[in-house]
Order: sequence, then structure tokens, then C-alpha cells
Amino acid sequence: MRPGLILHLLMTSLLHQRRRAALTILTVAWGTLSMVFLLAFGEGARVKAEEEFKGWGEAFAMVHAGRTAKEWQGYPKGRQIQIWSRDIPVIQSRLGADVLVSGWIGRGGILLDHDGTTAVVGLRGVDAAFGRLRNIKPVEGGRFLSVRDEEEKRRVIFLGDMLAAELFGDEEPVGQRLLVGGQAYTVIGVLQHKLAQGLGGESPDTRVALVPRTTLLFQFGDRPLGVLVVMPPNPNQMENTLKTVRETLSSLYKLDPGDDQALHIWDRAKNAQDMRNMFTAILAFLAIIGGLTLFIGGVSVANIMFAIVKERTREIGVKMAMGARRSQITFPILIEGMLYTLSGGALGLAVSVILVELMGAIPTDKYKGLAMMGHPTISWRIALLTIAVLALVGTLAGYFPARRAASINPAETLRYE
Amino acid sequence: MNWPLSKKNGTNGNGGNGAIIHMEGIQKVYDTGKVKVEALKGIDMTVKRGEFVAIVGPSGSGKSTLMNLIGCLDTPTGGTYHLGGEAVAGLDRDQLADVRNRRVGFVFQNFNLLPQISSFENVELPMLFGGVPKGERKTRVTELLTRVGLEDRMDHKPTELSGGQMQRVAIARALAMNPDILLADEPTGNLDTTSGGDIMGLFKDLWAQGCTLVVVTHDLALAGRAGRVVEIRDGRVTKDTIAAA
Ligand SMILES: Nc1ncnc2c1ncn2[C@@H]1O[C@H](COP(=O)(O)OP(=O)(O)OP(=O)(O)O)[C@@H](O)[C@H]1O
Ligand SMILES: [Mg+2]
Repeated sequence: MRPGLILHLLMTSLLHQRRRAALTILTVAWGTLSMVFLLAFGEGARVKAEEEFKGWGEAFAMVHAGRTAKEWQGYPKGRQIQIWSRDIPVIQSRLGADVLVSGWIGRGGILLDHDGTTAVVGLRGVDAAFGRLRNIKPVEGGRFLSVRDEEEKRRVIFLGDMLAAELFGDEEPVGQRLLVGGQAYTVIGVLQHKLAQGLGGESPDTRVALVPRTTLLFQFGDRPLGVLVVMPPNPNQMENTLKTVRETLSSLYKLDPGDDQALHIWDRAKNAQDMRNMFTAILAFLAIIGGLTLFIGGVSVANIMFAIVKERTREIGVKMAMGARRSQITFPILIEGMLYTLSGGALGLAVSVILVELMGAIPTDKYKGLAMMGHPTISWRIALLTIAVLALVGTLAGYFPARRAASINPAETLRYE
Repeated sequence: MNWPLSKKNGTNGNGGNGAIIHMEGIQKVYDTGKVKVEALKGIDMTVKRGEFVAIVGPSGSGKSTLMNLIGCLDTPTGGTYHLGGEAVAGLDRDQLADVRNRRVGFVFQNFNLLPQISSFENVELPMLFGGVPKGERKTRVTELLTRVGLEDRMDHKPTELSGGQMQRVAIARALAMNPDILLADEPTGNLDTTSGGDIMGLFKDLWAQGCTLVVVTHDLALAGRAGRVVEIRDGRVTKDTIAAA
């Protein structure tokens, strides 16, 4: 059939059942809206979580020393293990230069004093690699600790942005002198404010005070590492990297390599993957719920189409008597079902885009609960998924009524009553 | 492709002896579940090209059933049927649809026009199904509506026409694909005597122009205007008379 007459017949039928058509279209629009909205919220939360994760740095793993739970080569269990900064070069040489190896040592209760403005902090001794590991970016004008700082045991300090604000107020901290446990240090950089996962989205880095590890050792004496951090260039090398780390430390400290109490390993890459998997599951769940709502819309389209087929039984019989083929009977019905579904879908999508835009304009950052949700986002994936579901629903909603139409017996319907 | 509008009478689909309809022992049993109605009990009938056959008989005798079978709207439960030399048994639904489109034109007692579209579009419909190009459709619809005297009613909807006019639109529609045969089941049943007479006059004109027609009617006076009268009673042919020319 030519589109002209199809369109004509379609328009007259649409006009004929304006109210029913409008209701059906609204049902589909509602279904689309719920689906897009659920997914947009899910996606917003996912993007937010991903951002906070990035704030922590890339895919690295942290190794904490614990107590042995197994005897090994005559050594008893229950031994407290300690990892030292001198172990770092050993591990580095086993892993090769591609893998970042870092670690910090801590010293609590250190007084910082800037012309009488003071703060008591846990001081950390770190190396240049630490900045890359934790994705630390200095505010413009400053820098992070360098290898030279470390080698020359310079008295330089890098501050978290909140700590810097407490000590220096509106003054520019970089280049200023700061007394650290009574010794004079120079502030070389301030942390750029960043988000990280955790309650309220405040990164633990906002109050850090970082000095070169060597400087800290020199001033306060040697002490074990608080944590050892490793980062392979590619997250999928993490497993091998950790295996090497475990083997190296086990042989250094005479540990049973299978003793997971002696070394606690916190694998950030696996963590990230777990989080992504969780969000994928959540999004799939939301998609199913939304899809079901949309499916109910599809059922109402199918309903109206069945009613239309019933009303047009005689018309269909006449068309068949005039020699309409099966496809010429079913095609307009499929199109009509699709038209209802897609108009509803378009309406639903348009409304969701507008609503999501409006919600994006609401400042959520002030309210912690809302901030955690992030901004609802309609990604391409969501839009395409919704359109695909709509197309499927539209096809099904037209298919069954069309099949019924094709099964009409013309001789029967055209009998004169 | 065998172009239906340009085919010449007698040059194709003509079967043996110029027979368009050839039925042998046609039976039709309606199985409604509870009861089986034997509507046709063995019909032998041949209609040649160019004949004008009136089918008469009492109500319930099986006339409409026979017409549905002739027009391939329904399939027989027994017997053999050749339409234009082609066996109808074994054709699938789409092939039957093509046969109805190309070979048969239907006229019904209650017109069965689509109410929401114009006379023009109603006549155009079979040509849309037959895939006739737009330009050709327009000329042909105009020609047909002129032929039935409705050239000034082309844009009217069926509801804006009288019964006789509606039936003439229906006849124009039945002729749209230039069928081998025109089938009309009580075409004057819903019309007053004058309009009914006009319609029968139109049929006679078509006959004179070479059309083959099979018309069911109760009206014996109208039947008398046909060339041949077949009487059906209780599912069987009981009389078959050819009028003296
Ligand atoms: N679809 C059907 N299902 C069951 N029985 C049917 C069906 N169509 C027709 N019949 C029966 O078949 C018989 C013949 O019916 P048909 O309509 O052919 O008669 P007719 O000669 O056209 O009658 P009328 O002059 O009243 O139109 C009747 O007994 C009728 O009840
Ligand atoms: Mg009848």
C-alpha cells in the first residue's frame, strides 16, 4: 500500500478514538519516564561513585603488616610483623621499574606552628611516587614532593587544603615557613580540593601534612611503614604484582606465604571492579523495573489495537475481498501500534530530559544525602536502551493484534446481517 | 508480469471451452461445532466468458455460500473448482488474495464501502492492493466512476451518497482491476425499485460490453433480464435455463 492512503486511514482512525489513543500514549509515556528516570538516577550515582573513586587514585593495592597466624621454619605464630622503608627498594627491584612502589611512615601528635597559629596533626613521611598513587594534584603555584626532596632530606612540607586554610587563612601558604615539631620547614604545595569516597565526600587527604620520608626518619628516628602501596601500570597485572610482593616479604620476614593474617592486602583494583559490578547489577535491576512499567504501557497499546481490529473486522473483511494480501492487512496495524508506542516514548523521553535538566539545576552539594546520589544523567546508553525496549514493545504490541486481523475469515464477516 | 489491466478477454486464463467457472460436485459443509450444516450438496456448474447468469432460489438455499466459493472468499469442503482454468484448491492465502484481486470483482447487498474515505479512494483500494502505479490509478478511477455516472461524486464519502449511488461506487470498485468475472450477491436487495432497476440496467450494459456476470437475486423480474437463470434449492441446482436471445 502507498503511504498516502495508509496515512489517511490512520489519521481518521486516530481522530476516531482520540481519547483512548491519548490515554494509551500517556501510559507508554509514563512507562518510558519511569524507565529513563530510574536509569538516570542509577547512572548519576554510578558516575558520582566513579568520580570519588578516581579521587583516591588509580588501581593500587595497600599492604598492611599484621601478626602471623602460622608457624614457619621454627618461628612461632603470633609474631608482630613490621615492614620498613628499606624494604621498598628490595620490592621495587623484584617488581621492576614499571610498578610504582611507595609507602608512608606516620608520626602522630606533631605540632605545626605558623606565627602562633597552630594545629596538631599526624605527620606522614612519603615519597614522590605517593603523589601519583593517590592522584594528588597541587594547587597552582605549588608542587608535590620530589625525588630530590627525598634524596637531600629537605625540610619541605605539602599540606591538605583544609589544613592549609586553618593555618594560613587567606595568606598564600606556598613559600612560607612552618614550624614542624619545632623545626623550620617550607611549604611547597597545597592539595587541590578533591572528592573521595567516604562519608560526606570529604577526602581524608584534605587534612594531610606530608614531608619526605627520609626527612621524617632523620628528624624523628626510624619506624616501620604504616602502609606499603604498589601500583602496576595495568590493573590486570595486579594479581602477579601482589604475588611477588607477598613472596618477597615472606622470605624477608620468614612468613608462611599462605598466611593471610601476617599481611593484609587491600586490593583497590578488585575493589573498583566490585563497585562497577555492583552498579551494573543495580542498573540492570532498575532497567528491568523500568522495562516492566514500559511493558505495561505496551499491553495497553496491544489492548487498543485489539479493540481496533475488532471494530474494523468488516473493513478488514472488505479489504480481503478486494484482494489485500496478508501483509497489506497486517502492516497498517503494526505501524499504528508502533506509532502509539513511539509517540508515547517520544513524549516520555522529552519529559524525562526536561525533568533531569531541571534537577541538574538544583544545587545538591549542600545536602549530603543528595550529594551522594550525584546528578541524574541520561547517557547515550540509557537513551538507546530505552529506544530499543520501546521498539520491542511497539513491535509486540502491534504483532499480536495484526496476527488476529490476518486470521479474520472474510466470508464470515461479510455475511449480511 | 502479467499486467491485469491490460489483459485481453479470451487470451489468457481461459481454461477449456472458454469456461471461466467450472465446478464439479462442489460441496460446502459448515461445521459450527455442535451442528454441521450442509449448505451445498454437490454443485456442477460451468459459466462461460461473456455470460450473464442470475442465481435464484429461496432463502437459505445456499446462494451466498456458492458466491463466496466462486469468488474464492471461502474454500469448498468437497469437489473441484477451476477459475479461469486454474485449480483453486491448494492455493495459499496470499495466492487466493491475488486471485480475488485480479480475477474477481465483488458487489454486496450492503455495499461494504469504507465509510471514512471518499468514493474515489474506495474505488482506488483494489488497485493499491494490486500495486497499480499512482498515475494509472487516477485515470482508471476517474474512468470507472464516469462509467457508473458518478463523475461528480468522486470526493464524496459513502455516507453522503444515496443507496443506489453507493452501489454504483461498489460496482466501479469491483471493476477496478478489470476482473474476469463480476459477482453480485443481491445487489438490489437494499434499494428501492427504481434504483434497483438502474443497477440491473448497469449490469446489462456491462454485459453488453463483454463482462461476465453472476448475480444473485430474489427479484424474478430482474432475473429475467439475465441471459441465463440458475435456480438453487437446498444446496443443489434444480433448474438452469438459458433465455432466448
Ligand atoms: N458461516 C456459516 N456457518 C454456519 N452455517 C452457515 C454459514 N453460512 C451459511 N450457513 C448456512 O448455510 C445455508 C445456506 O446459507 P446461504 O447464506 O448460502 O443462503 P442464501 O441462499 O444466500 O440465503 P439468503 O437468500 O437468505 O441470502 C443456511 O442454512 C445457512 O444457515
Ligand atoms: Mg444470501
